[in-house]
Amino acid sequence: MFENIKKQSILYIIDDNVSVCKSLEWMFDSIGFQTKTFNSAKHFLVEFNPNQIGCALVDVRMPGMSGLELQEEIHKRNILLPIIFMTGHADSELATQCKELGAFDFLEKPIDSKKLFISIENAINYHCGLINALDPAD
Amino acid sequence: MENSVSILVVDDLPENHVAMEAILSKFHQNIIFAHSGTQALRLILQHEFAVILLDVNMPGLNGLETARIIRSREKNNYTPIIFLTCLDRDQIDINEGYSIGAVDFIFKPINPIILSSKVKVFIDLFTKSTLAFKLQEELENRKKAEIQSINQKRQLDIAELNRFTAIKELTSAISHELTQPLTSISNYITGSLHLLSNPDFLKKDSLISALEIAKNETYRAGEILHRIKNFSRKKHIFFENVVLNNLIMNIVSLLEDRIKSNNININFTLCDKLNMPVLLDKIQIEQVMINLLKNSKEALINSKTKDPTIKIETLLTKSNKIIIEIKDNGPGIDASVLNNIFDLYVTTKEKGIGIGLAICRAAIEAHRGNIIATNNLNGGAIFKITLPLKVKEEVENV
Repeated sequence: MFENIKKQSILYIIDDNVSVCKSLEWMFDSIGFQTKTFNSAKHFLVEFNPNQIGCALVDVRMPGMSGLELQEEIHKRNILLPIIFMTGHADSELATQCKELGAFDFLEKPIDSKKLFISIENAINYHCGLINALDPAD
Repeated sequence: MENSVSILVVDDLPENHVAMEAILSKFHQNIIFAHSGTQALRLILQHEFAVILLDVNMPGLNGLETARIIRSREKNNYTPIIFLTCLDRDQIDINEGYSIGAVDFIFKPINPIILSSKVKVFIDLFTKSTLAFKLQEELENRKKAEIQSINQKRQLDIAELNRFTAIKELTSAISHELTQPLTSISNYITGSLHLLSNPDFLKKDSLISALEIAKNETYRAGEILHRIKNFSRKKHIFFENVVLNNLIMNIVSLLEDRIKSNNININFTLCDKLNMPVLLDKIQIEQVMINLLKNSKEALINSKTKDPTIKIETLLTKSNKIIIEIKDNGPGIDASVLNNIFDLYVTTKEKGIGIGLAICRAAIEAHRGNIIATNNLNGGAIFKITLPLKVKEEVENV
């Protein structure tokens, strides 16, 4: 799975729930996909590497900076990293709002792993394409 | 004579009373006699008359003056007054009589047929208007009853709506609580399946530990359901021997990851006396501590407090009360909710549901204790739990 992309890309997992973070980390580790987990949006903003290809899996509802606020911040900073939202409180209004704000995808917890993998693959390909288009020499 | 109408006869001469009674008694109505204008005025305050037969020529207050006063009373604006008069003797100005409000004149000597036919008209009129009035009153009562029943229905609807909202919020709380463990379980199983589908599968230990965690998560989900069920059923309390200080330390280490990752300091001042076991409902007290610590943590993170600190203190008072205090140096509790913060669905969190502190209070009250929330003078919130000390009872059945 993800054979052609997983070596060079990274998945950022941002969720205030530690056990959800750990389980996602373990699941992606089991398929050999590199992840980095953060329990708050702020930590993520400090530590992530904007030059690496990847995508962010973000919980909508977090104390402090929420998922939507994180997305806004990422846009403000002109970062192209695609964001996939996950939430336990899916409603169509929130999903629409996320997508309008530029979310790559919106998934409901517990997450359907097939949908998640497809979404991540698409997101990373999208990010790859974007980075190559902006900087073809790279 | 329940349905009879009242007729007032005002005449200073008793013999005239007798004559009038003789003429009017055939109507079987309630005939009331007054000997003077003054007495008549008193009587109109006590009765409602279908017609007043008023002698013009009376000592003291005469008929015309009496009529004028009667008319000046709003309730008697339309009470029919028939003047009894000797035209030649009284030399009354008929026009003046009418202008005061007389409906008719009967001249003495009285002709019984004229008198009774005139009185009959007013008896009938009064009976009919009373009936009409009663009908109208009944209509109004019916309308009132209808409105009342509509209001009652509306209130029922509101109660129904409240119930519905409560259910909706509870459902939302349950789904939020359960989503986390379910997400973890699903992730561990997905990962395990991937590992197992690899023909060169080697990571047996990793698989076992993942499934172990998934198993524990199912227990956690079960416990959440159990807790919610207990909350809704107000179950009996289950006392067991608990070392309170250890319980607190365990909860803090359980939450440590989340608290430390936000650079929040935790200070303890634990009372040595509470290193001995006391009787408490372990799960409920744990739940209370988790809820309170999580609240403090969130308040500290959201307010971006400098040097965020949570202080936990336990104490055993001389009067054998266990005190647990949780203080933080965050923004404190908004004054508008300070009095009802433990009520169901009251929350200060933007996306809170308002069930956590209600659960806390229910748990503490089940221990016959109490929990109060105050603000520290130097800033920050204080939650103070007071529990009665209960130690293992002497062996029963001695």
